[in-house]
Amino acid sequence: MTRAETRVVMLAIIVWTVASIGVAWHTLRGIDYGARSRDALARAHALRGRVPTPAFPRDLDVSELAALHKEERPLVVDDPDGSEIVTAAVKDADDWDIIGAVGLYGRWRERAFATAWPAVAALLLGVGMFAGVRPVRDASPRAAAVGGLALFGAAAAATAVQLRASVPALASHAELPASLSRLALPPPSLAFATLLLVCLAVGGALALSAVHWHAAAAGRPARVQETLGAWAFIAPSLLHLVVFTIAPVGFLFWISVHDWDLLATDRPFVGLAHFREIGADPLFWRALRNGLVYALYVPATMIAALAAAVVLDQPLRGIKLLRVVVFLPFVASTVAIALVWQWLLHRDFGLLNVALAAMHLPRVDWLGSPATALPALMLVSAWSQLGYMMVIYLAGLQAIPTSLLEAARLDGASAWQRFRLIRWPLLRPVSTYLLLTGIIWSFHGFTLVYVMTEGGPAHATDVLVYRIFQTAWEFRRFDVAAAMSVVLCAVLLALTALQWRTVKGEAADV
Amino acid sequence: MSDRLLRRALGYGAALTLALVMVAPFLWMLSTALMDEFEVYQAPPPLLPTVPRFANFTEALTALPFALYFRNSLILAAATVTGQVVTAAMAGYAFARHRFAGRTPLFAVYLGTLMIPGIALLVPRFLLVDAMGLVDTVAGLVSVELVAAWGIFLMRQYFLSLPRDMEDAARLDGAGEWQVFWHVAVPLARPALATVALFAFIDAWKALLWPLVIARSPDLRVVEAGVASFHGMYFANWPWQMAAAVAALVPVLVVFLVAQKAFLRGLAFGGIK
Amino acid sequence: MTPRGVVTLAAALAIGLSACRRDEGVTLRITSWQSPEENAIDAVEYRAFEAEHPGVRIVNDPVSNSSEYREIVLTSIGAGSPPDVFLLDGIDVAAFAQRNVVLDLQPFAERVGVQVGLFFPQVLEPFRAGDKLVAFPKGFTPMVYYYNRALFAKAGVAPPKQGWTQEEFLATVRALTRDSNGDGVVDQWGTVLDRRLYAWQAWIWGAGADILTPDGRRASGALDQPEVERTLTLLTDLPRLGYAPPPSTTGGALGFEQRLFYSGKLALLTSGHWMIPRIRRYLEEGRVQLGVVSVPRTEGHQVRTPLFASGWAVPYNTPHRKLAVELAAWMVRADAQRRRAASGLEIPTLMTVAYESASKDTTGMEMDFLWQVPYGGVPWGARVAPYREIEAAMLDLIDRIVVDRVPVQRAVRDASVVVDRALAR
Repeated sequence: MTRAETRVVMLAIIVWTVASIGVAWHTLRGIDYGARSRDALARAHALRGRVPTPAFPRDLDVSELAALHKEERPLVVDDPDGSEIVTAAVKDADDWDIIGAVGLYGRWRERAFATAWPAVAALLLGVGMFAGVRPVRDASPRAAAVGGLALFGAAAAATAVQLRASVPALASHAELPASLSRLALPPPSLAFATLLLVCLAVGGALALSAVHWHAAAAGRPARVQETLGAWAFIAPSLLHLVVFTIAPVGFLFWISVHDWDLLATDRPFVGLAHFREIGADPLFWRALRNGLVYALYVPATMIAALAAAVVLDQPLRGIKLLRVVVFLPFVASTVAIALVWQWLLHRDFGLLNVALAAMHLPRVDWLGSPATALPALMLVSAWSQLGYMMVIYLAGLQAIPTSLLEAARLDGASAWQRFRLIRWPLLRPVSTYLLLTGIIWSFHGFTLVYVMTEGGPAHATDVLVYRIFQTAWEFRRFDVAAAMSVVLCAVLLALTALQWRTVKGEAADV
Repeated sequence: MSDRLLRRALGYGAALTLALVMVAPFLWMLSTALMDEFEVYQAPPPLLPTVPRFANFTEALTALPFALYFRNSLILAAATVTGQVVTAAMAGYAFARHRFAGRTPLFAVYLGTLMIPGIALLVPRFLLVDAMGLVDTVAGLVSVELVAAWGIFLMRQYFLSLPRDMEDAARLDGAGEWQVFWHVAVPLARPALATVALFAFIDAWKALLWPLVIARSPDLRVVEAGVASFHGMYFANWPWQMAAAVAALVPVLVVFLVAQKAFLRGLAFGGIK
Repeated sequence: MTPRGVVTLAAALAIGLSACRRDEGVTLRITSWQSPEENAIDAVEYRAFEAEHPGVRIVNDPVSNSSEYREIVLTSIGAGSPPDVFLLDGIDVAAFAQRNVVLDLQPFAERVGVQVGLFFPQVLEPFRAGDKLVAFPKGFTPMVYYYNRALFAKAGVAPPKQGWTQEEFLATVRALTRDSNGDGVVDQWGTVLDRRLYAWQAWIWGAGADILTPDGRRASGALDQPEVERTLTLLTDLPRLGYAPPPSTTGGALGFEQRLFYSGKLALLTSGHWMIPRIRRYLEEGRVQLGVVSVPRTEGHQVRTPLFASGWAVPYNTPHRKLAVELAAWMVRADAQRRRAASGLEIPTLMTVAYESASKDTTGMEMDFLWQVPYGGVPWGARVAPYREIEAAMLDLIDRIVVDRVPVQRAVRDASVVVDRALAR
């Protein structure tokens, strides 16, 4: 392992350790807060009016709590899970109403967190770094891998045990809240926190051992070595995608087969009922068809963008400013753009119609007539994305070595030939990128529709993601919207696979 | 010579027409930003304000704490750019240059994540970030967009279009994978990196829904949310909204100019070869 | 990377991840969809409340767009970090009440000094869900027609009278639709057709009909009745016969109709009180002269117009229940309503304040607004949860008649089926 690589390993270990501390800290602070708060309140309400029996653990300072809240006999609610949490309803200072539930937990943060965590963290940091760097320098990577794995595993186990051990302490002490707002804060679910920590620790250990394995791979076949190296390059993005995209997508799938409302307590499994519902909805099919038509603006804009990029690639005076101008629409607030275009396309006052009238052509109600509304939206989309595609192409053009073009010119190739034979083939990966992502995004954008037409007139501009937005946010039927999202994903996957196959047939490098 | 002049004139002509089409709506935006509120509500709408009202800018930008919003937007954008550029360069390089077990299915998964509309992910992501206790924090604000599959895809495509002989030469000289990546591939990919950075910045700058959902306090609002708040259900303040929208353009344009410089430097690298 | 770089990065990460807030005293969070100007007015009340309650800090956290606003409030309540007080739209009452997430304010009203009897009873009604009171109403508006006095004077047409009928309306728009510059093209219209339900609900009520059956369970049996069909035919014929420009397919806040209206090209515009603050200055300068009149009814039936109200509500799981209810009450007390009324945003919900501020109005419009109140009805959104779906279906209904040229009878039947299905879920 080189010095640079050793440093990277060192850095990775530090970052990982700090990150795991941060995650643990936040997990402990806020986990599963909502559900427990709801539960506790519901139970407290159920008990209201009955004569409660104080059932606090012996070392609870009841008088202190009562004095604080002017409530002599707080209601006690036992958590059915056992002794993990004891919740009690608490009235406000003016004996108004039950304002929340207090979790009777000890100075859990001070005990469990303040003592255990810094110790564990220091252990992880120090030993992890030692395990990560020292053996590498001593050229005994296998020992480092085994040692690292064992150490991280032990640290994780210690953490879990520490947290478990502190649970009884949590239950047997009442924390005196600093303000009433704390009263509604039940302690976090330690089981989840523990799980997360163990995951982090095991993940860290695995990553460390992978790095060491990689370091020790000098003698292994090149293929294995390359695989390991590649996975190391990919790991950071993969980790993030799994947590913040793939996991939520899994949840989305789950929602799509349940009757799901954020505020409902009962979320029964309904199978494919939501899918059947949207399948039977003619508006859904209309939106799908509209989306397919709408996507056609992408290839058209790409051609215009390529032309613009070639023009703006020239060393003309003032070209920098021009590039800015072409790029401007992509940068501006979509809402503002939509409002501006609504005016430009207006039947009576719009610039476009004023121009048509000047040429003695009939006025067109661009956004008001079902025949022209979607093309008008496509026009605006093309206008706003031209700059984006132009920049991508421009960067692609810049990457083409000038020597190649120069050589072709010396060989007597015309400008068109130089474009056709050199630039165009070299731009192919860029074009693939633009087409694929462009089509996907054409199905995802809805701000223009939302502001300019609200899907009208008569659903002529209704696209799928606008329906998803409307169903989820206006009709508050998140489960049906999730089902629509799943269908949209399927459609896009099919479209992308189709395109992929097509371009792959043409170019081997894609 | 005259042929060349003609070509030049044609080039300028095309460029100017393009510029005019692109910029016209912005002129209207600017003009509206300088109008008296009642003036906006005329039919047909006036093209220019009778008296330019520059106070709209100061009024709009002080009606809400825009200084704070700009700061938040910049933090969000900086984190997004850093995260996306680093991960896109690394993963894009690996997908383009390495042959390894699981490459194709993994890349398909990456592409697959592009298919899900952000609007559908909003609530699941919110619940996740809420479970992490990051609601209403800077960390929560920046967390979800630190990696973007499109950036990885874009970098992969750029690396594919780059000749790989320089990397091979470095390998022959005994450089490790990391060194090849850091000292050879990254400098060559500078224009593409600038592109990813630019679009990551713009994405972050224009993000509206996630910042709106994740921020519980107005201290975490972003610029785009400020612009949108001049146009609500039962009201619309056109001049203020347009003034704010114009002001919001400025940072992105600065970033674009900087990024453009990086493209040109990329050109110089191309020349060396 | 240098060791120093490593340390800096680690430190930055640590700071970024532990960016947490420290609580000092009590912070109350209040949210609404209000405009920056409205929030500036409310800020005065917040500061006064803070002065009365030392140690309490109020943070106002507005969200401008309606559907985002609702979803954000619901999500934050569901996630357990609710705002302490939020603005509840009268048309969302059923949806919120169904999910049981709003505190019943009835038991506390007396304790925080809110005398429920002082509100207009018609305005309080939407906020009653069963025996609960889900919000303290802060302001409202009936739907009315604004008319441009100058155009009426120029055409020699008498201004419309409260309680006028559909026939009188038709005669008026006929007389006021004209080609004012003589170029052969109509450039001044009698009125516009607003496709959205909230704009034409009053027409249906004024014809003695409704879009849903009285129990709110079905649309068939109400929406497909001949009175509805007749009224919708009348309305959708307006653009067809040239008395109104082709209906705008775009959202209401974009203001193409307002443009026409303000520049004297439109005689009658249906809207609510929310138009006033935007134009008050110009009313005072005499640049426009407007009047307000009820939505036309049919002979033999009474005027009935929806009262769109909003009120301050408290989520059930706020950690500061008492302070939150006190703040909600604070925001609707007479002084606060007076201040808001002075800016013309909406009609005060307290009867005395409403009449007091109307008596100061020189245009006569405020009294004409108040004239509508006894004829006010509860919008369906306060009673049926899937109201937004019904609104969307009603928009479709008009579109199908106007754009797709579907016969009215068939269109209302199809729409009834769609609404029945939504209500049956």
